[in-house]
Amino acid sequence: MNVYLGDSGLAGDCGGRREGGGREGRKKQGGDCKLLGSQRMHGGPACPSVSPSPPSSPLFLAKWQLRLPSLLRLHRGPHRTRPPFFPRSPILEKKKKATPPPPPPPPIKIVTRARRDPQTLPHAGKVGTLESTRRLKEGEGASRMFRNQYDTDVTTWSPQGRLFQVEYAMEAVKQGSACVGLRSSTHAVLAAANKPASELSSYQRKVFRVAEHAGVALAGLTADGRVLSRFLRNECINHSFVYEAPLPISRLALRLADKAQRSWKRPYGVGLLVAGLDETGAHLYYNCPSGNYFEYQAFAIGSRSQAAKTFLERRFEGYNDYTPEQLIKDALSAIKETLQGEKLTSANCTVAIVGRKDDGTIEPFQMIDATRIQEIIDSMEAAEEAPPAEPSSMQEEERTSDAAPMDI
Amino acid sequence: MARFDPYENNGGTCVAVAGADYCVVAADTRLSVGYSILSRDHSKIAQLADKCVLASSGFQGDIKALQKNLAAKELIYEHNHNKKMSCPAMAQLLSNTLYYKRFFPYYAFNVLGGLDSEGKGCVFTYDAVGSYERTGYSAQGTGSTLMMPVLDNQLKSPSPLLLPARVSSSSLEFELFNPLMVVFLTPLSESEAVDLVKDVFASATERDIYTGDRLEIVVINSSGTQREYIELRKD
Repeated sequence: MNVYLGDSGLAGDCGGRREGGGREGRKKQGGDCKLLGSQRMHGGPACPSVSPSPPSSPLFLAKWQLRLPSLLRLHRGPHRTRPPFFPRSPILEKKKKATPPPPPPPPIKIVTRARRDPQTLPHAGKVGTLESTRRLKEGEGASRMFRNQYDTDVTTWSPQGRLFQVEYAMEAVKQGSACVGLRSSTHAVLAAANKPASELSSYQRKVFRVAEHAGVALAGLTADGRVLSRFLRNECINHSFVYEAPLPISRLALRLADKAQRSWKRPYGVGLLVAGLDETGAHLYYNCPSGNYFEYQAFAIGSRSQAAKTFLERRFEGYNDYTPEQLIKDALSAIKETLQGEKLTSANCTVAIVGRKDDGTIEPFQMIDATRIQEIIDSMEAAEEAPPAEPSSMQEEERTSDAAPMDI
Repeated sequence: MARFDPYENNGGTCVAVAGADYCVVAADTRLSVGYSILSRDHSKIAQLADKCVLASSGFQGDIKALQKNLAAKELIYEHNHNKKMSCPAMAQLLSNTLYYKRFFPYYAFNVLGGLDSEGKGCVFTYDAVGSYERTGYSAQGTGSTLMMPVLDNQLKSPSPLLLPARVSSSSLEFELFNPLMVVFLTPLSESEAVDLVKDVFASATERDIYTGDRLEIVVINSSGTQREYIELRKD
């Protein structure tokens, strides 16, 4: 008996055919009902499939199907809707028997993380090596909703074991203008490219003195960098107050890295090149927003830093023995690489140096003033304009591996 | 039952004299406690900024802490303002730092000397809780009561209307003789000021048991800071 419509006494109406495809139709009328076994006749009074509505109607839903939807789904297919609440005339049903069965409903769409080819994305080639699944432009609609699941909160892991907020913070570093750092065994140099935000404004300060023996250059959100510089300055002052000795650079980098481990705050969107001098010599560290830090002989961060890194990779092995002047020249050359065609002048770069002089006294961290930078740039350009046979430090177009050592 | 006394007087005397373009700051190097000498070679002078020098006598533990505190605050000032602290700025900072501990004071009697922003000599004298005044000269410490009368006699003009005891620099005439301008300078030349300081210390050493051994003289002028040591009586 149909729970909604009462028993109309029809028998065998289902015809063994159920919509909800995918499966073969049941036995025809009169045969064994596969569902119920041989005890029951299909269409007989006990057959739960009896109902006034034709079995081929998409609205068909037997009583027992209502009670056991999970069984139904397994047997009949996924989609089911409620039965109609009005009685159907037998004539109509007979007519409808002739109509072809409706197409099977489409299978439920299980939305997965579609892997899109990164080359087809609009920002292809412009950003770093993040997987395309996580890089969406605005307004990609419903598909964006799923990919946001793990990147809203810095305390949420993704199924791949990534913290997206931290990785996005590292992207912010890549948007800042370039900074390079390099060091010898006695001196460390930091240089930054000065890119004003607009024609009318001046450039942001990127190199900060942290203590007499240390300084930082930053790329990314300058406001975060200011906060971190103030923190580092306080740490150095407190350390000297208690220990009457300068804070070693490795510990300075460690304090900075520990500051990134605040789970209730957004990550600092700034990468810092920490350079300084301590008892063990000159050091250069790079601190990521992720809290990682590594020591480097030479490094570059920020936009178009890859060009500078390529330049430094070719030359870094000799840096330990470089004089301060050579370090400054290499730093300027590396910055010039990031400017990509723009002329290097003392107005669009900042250079700072710290180190131990030959007589053992400390050369405190300070910016090199603009006139001296211009002199160095001019001397570099003069060396470049020397006859091509003479190997020069400024021939960055050279792709040969036999770049001659700097002979300045 | 003797209560723990947090203070101790380590003795010593400090003097500073300001001139038109120099400042002389001097202190003895004897460190004592009670009737004993702890050290004959302990400096009471600290250089806080390149044109600013602090000399303090009293309890050396508090003096050391005060000097470190000021040095740290000076560093913070440098980071924030991108320049070193001037002497008048340091004077105010010292006063504030001392008053901060109004109810457990630094047992330090300070004399701050240096060049102000215009390059003229300045001397600031303090009590233990930060009350300060800019003067042309000052003495603090166990021998100050023996020195101040001599300095007053030599350097102080009885009234701005009257001729001061000695005038050596003609460029100061307007400032020194003008009754409307209060002048915080002494009319001595640099070498005269240094000689006066030596005489005054020699006198104080005779009668004050806590003053003696060696005299450290620091002269700050436009060319920087020079240091000189003079032997004093060691008894």
